[in-house]
Formats: sequence, structure tokens, C-alpha cells
Amino acid sequence: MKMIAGLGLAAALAASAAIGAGPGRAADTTATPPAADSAATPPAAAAPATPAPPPVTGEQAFNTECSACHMAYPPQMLPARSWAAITGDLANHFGEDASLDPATTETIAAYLAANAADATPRGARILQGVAPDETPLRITDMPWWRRIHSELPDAVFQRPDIKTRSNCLACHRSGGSGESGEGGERGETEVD
Amino acid sequence: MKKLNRTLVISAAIVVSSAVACYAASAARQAVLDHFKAAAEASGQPFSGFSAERGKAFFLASHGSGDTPSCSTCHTTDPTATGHTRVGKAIQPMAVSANPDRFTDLAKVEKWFRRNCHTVLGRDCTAAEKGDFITFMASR
Repeated sequence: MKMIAGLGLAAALAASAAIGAGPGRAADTTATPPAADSAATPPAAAAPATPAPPPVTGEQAFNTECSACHMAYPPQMLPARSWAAITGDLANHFGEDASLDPATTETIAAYLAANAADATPRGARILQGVAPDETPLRITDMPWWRRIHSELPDAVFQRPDIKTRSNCLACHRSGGSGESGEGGERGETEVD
Repeated sequence: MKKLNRTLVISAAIVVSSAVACYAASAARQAVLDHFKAAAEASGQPFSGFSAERGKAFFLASHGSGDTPSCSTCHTTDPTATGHTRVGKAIQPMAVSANPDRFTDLAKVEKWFRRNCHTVLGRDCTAAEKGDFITFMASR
């Protein structure tokens, strides 16, 4: 009996591995597949039709797509107009092309706008010192950020294991959202 | 004795499912390569097959000035190594030997070629270049 159960388990594992590694899997879970380049023919893999994954939420899309190269920065750390400027020009994203298909971009943009500093109750603190006609593109340019990190010299951010001010996770390992101050107090960072 | 049977069956299950997964991944990667081969043949440029050597040279070359002149700027010169983005985030190895899922998902492959070729070369990579690149990574 146990032998039969084991063989059944083996067959199930093999089947799920085959399906999981097949070409039909959308590893990045975008809601619609990105446009192929102009010379493309439909994907050559005649994969068995796997059911389309359920549409992802803006939060899921943001967390998946926007953590590929850096942490998924907390949306409340910038005003909505800053996020709009960023998502409106992803092909020129701080010196790199970070473009996505239009549907995914729109989904993410909507999520960021809905959760930006000017859309959240405690956002007033984040927006202190930012004039209405200013559109900071970097969280590290925000007055609150500079105030909190004011005692750290440039040399710290030039360390090879840190590289840049934008590398929050180098010091804030748990990626604290900052809403409750977690990861934001001195002594809670995990770097000497 | 019963315990040994169960251990054997579970071990066999792991071996079989790993083998099936590996086979499925290389079949998926071949499908991706076939896609670029068809595109290269249709491009009107002379094409006589992909080359790992050409892919290696392309990967290591400096294609311009600026923050990311080369693929190796972020991926390092060793495809089996962990790379790093400009903001310090780790990039899993490109080499298939270190990362068997690489280049098995055409949509993902096309997304990253579009972005990174624009960033590093300032243009789209050709189908031949993409195929050479994958061929090189699959050989490492």
C-alpha cells in the first residue's frame, strides 16, 4: 500500500515538474504578455494550453516588477506626481530601460498613485519641505530622508557593499516601511 | 525494511522529477532558441547558426560609455557568478549550469533583452545576437 502511495507521489512530482518547467509558464506574472519584437513569430514552443494565471493586483505587479533591480520602494515615500513622472518614462529610468508592457505599467501606476504620500493619512510628514511645484524623482532627495540620514557622510554610501543612497536594504535589511519607524531608527539598522 | 522502501521510493521520485524538470527546461530553452533562429533566418541578414564564441565576445565587449557599457558590468565577467545591479541588488547567474531555468520563458527573455540591449547598446539586439548570447550561456 505504501509502495503504491509512493509511486503515485513520484508520478505527481514528475508531472508537476514537467508542467512547471514548461515554456507556457509566465514567470513574471504580468497580466498581458509583452509585445514581442517586430521580427517575432508566435513563440515556437507548442506548449499545451495552461490556464492563464489570474490577473495580478497593482501591488503584486509593483512588488514583482519593481524589485528586480532594487527594493520595491514604499509608495508612500513619494508624492503621486513623482510616481507618475517615473512610470511615465520607464524607458529612461535613471539611466536604464525599465520599460514594461502598457497594461502592466498602467496597473502599477494606478497602485502607486493610490498609495502615494499625498494619498495616505501620514503623508503630510513625508511631504514636509516639498513645494507643490517640485517633483522629486528620488526618495533620497526628499527632505525627510535627508533629515533622517543627515549624520551619515558620503563615504558611507560609497562603500562597495552599499554603493549608493538608493540601496536601502544594505542597512535596512528588513526593509522596514518606515510607517511606524521600523528600520528607521538608529540602532535598528544591521550594518556597523 | 518498510522504512528503506519508503526512502527508496522518495529518492527515486526526486531523481525522476529532477530529470524530468531538466529535460523540460532544456526543451523549453530549445524552443526559445528556435524562435530566434527563425527570426534570424527571416531577417535578411546572412545567418549560418548561433555561436557560443560570438556570444561570449558579445557578452564581454564594451558597447559604449556610460554607467553600463557592457553586459558584464552588471552580470560580471563570469556567467556562473552572482551579479549586481547598479543599486546593489543581486542578480542570479546567467549560466545555465548554475541556473537551469534561464532562457526557458520567451516572454521573460524578450523583456530583458529589450531593456538591457537598449541600456547597454542603445538599440535592440538582433535575433542572431540573442541566439549567440543564449548559446554561450547554455554552454557555461
